[in-house]
Amino acid sequence: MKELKTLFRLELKSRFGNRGTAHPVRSVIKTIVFVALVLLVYAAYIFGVKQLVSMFHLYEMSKEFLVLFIAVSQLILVFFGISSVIKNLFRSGDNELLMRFPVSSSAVFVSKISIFVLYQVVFTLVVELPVFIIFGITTGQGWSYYALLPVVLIFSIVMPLSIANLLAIPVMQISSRTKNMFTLSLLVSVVMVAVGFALYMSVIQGIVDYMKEEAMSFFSKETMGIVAEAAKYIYPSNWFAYMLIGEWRVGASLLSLLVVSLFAGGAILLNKKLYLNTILRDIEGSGATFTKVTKNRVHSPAAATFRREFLEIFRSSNYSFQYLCMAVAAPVMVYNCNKLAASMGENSIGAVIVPALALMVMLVFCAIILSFAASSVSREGENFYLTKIAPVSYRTQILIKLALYLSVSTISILVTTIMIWVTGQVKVEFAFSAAGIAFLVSVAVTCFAVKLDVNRPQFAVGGDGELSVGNLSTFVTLFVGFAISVLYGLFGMVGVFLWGMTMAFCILAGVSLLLAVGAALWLLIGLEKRYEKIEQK
Amino acid sequence: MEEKMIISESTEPTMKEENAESTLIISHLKKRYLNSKRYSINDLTLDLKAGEIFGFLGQNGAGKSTTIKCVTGIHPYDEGQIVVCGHDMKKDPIGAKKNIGYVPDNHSVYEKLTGREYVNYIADLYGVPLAEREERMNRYLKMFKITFAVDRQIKGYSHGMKQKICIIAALIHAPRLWVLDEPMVGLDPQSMFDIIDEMKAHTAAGNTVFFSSHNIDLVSKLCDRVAIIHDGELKALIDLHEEGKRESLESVFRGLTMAENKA
Repeated sequence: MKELKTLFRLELKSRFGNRGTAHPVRSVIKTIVFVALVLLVYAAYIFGVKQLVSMFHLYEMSKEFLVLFIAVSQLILVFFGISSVIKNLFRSGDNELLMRFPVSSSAVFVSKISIFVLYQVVFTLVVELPVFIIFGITTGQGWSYYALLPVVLIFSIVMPLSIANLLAIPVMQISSRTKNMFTLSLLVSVVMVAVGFALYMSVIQGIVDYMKEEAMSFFSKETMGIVAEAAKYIYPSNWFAYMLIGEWRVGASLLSLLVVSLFAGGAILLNKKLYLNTILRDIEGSGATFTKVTKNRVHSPAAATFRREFLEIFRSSNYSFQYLCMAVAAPVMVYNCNKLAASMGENSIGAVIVPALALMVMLVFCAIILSFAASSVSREGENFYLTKIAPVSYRTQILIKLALYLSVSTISILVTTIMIWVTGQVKVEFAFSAAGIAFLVSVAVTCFAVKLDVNRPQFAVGGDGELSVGNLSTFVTLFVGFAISVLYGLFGMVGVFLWGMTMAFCILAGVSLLLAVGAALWLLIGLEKRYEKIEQK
Repeated sequence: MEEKMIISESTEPTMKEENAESTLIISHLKKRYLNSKRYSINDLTLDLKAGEIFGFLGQNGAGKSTTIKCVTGIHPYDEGQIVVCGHDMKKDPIGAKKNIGYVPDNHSVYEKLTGREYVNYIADLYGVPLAEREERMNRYLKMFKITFAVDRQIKGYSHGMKQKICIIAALIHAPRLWVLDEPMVGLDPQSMFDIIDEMKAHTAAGNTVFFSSHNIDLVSKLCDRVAIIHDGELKALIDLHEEGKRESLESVFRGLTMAENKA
């Protein structure tokens, strides 16, 4: 018990550390702003939930709402749970260290899982509990509802935790076996993302088409019938809901208990048997590498740096997914988004806004892809010194990185453009004008992202040499990229009615050129001095 | 009194060969880290000649690695001048860096590349022609006995193998100044002998080796000259070819650093 307590405290410390600050006043202001923002978002969430519950209650679909809500929150917890379990339990950086100490593997497991349980408890209390309370008040539930609520909350924590644990080990095995199959991994990721996204968009498209054709709302008789029928078969979420609202309470309670116990027991047994073995295999296999026989070849310093940068991304499943996979999948995503947006837009405003919508969607995906540039210096990690000792100017090194990011995004933009032109979504002149504008905005966003990282790199890389913490510059780049996309989209849609699409696109092209030149100058002026000042202790 | 005498005697430029060309000149170097009030290097002056092995001794935190990082262009510095083979590090950093080969203390390399890819990448940066890089790479791979691993991904290399691939990459362009930060840490005896042999061969060809170490015994046996640094300040510059200096190096080092620690 004592060793468990020590390990748990160690786990907490390693995650949250001792957060001292050199500027206490600034820190207090930051905290106040942060708390105010969180409260604002939370108030909006509660208000939204209240409206939603009232709406479902009004149309006598409270039970269905409860089933759907429990199912969705369980799915979210399972989805994020698998990656969390893998990261925290199996691929935690300190596993190798802890294995050397005289502590049992079960103590390590419990200490690590406790953190995960803590997250689940916080999620359940902050996100789920208010919904259950609002539901209880709105639908006038009796004391038994509130008495059984803690049981359902515990089930809501244990169930996804167990499923995530059961799924994590096979996922670990597959990922270990495909570790050095870079092209295969990239292809599988691209296909999965593209297919998943296409399916998601086709479902939404189906709903939009259905509603358009049937001229019906979500709460029409037909839709309610479909939802009610579906809710009957969403196990075990429907049993949890029935338990609470008193419909077939004894049966639902017993079945819920049985299912949760089965999953929890299975997860405990599986982990007891395989946890230590899986960790040890993963530690042992972490050094597993590939052999690639090549010839010595001469490249220019620029070409060599370009190639090295590409290989570093391509040979990392993490970076490859974040950047290459998104770039390859972007045309499919843009096509689908555009199709949906166009069908909605045509209905309400008119076909004339389609090119502006296409541009907006294209820019959104450019922002997602190019946010990767915001870690271009930070990603060097321990190897940052090599960029300093290389007899190549910092400006050249940065320009090579820019060239890599822009060449990938430009190919992505061109493929997207050809796709939306060939499929007849957008006329050729507007499709290629949108591509030109997207390219200029890409230059601006990339320069902006790299400059942010040059100004404040964070070399927090993990044991595998990859960035281990979220980079603030990435979030800022994403935010700015999205803001530009929305502004451009709105300007195009409004501009088409004021001056026509040709003029609107000309204005946007002019603004984009200014943005690109401005961002490039911001990055390049004084770059040598700024880069020279970066110190990595 | 004894300590002052050593300093005043030794900080004078007592070169083995007074007329030898300077490979590295450090003049009045001052370096302060961001948000730090004290100088990590304070008024350091050194002149390294072609053909010598120069040792850099000091306790942990004395400023050895910081000096090396300034010399190689990794860290900026506040005052003073660093000139490598006639190229000022501030005015002509590319010219200066072209003459340096650097082996870091943490053996960091691009681990996703294979050994051959990494060495070729570094050779490309320095513009080494194909015939030269092939000859050098094969020679060093053989010398360090890692030919078998050159086409494997570096991620799977042992500590010593990473150190060796770092050394090969640092020597692939035959630098005039070879800088090594704690090069012997974690190496097996045979690898240490190989590095020592290569250091000697490198200086015999008219180049300079500048390395930091905690190993006084190694420094006393291998180096032509040695600088002792403490709290960022040069405490002694000793020509080990002078009679009795090799034997007395340890006691001098202890005397200087212990006296300072007590003070």
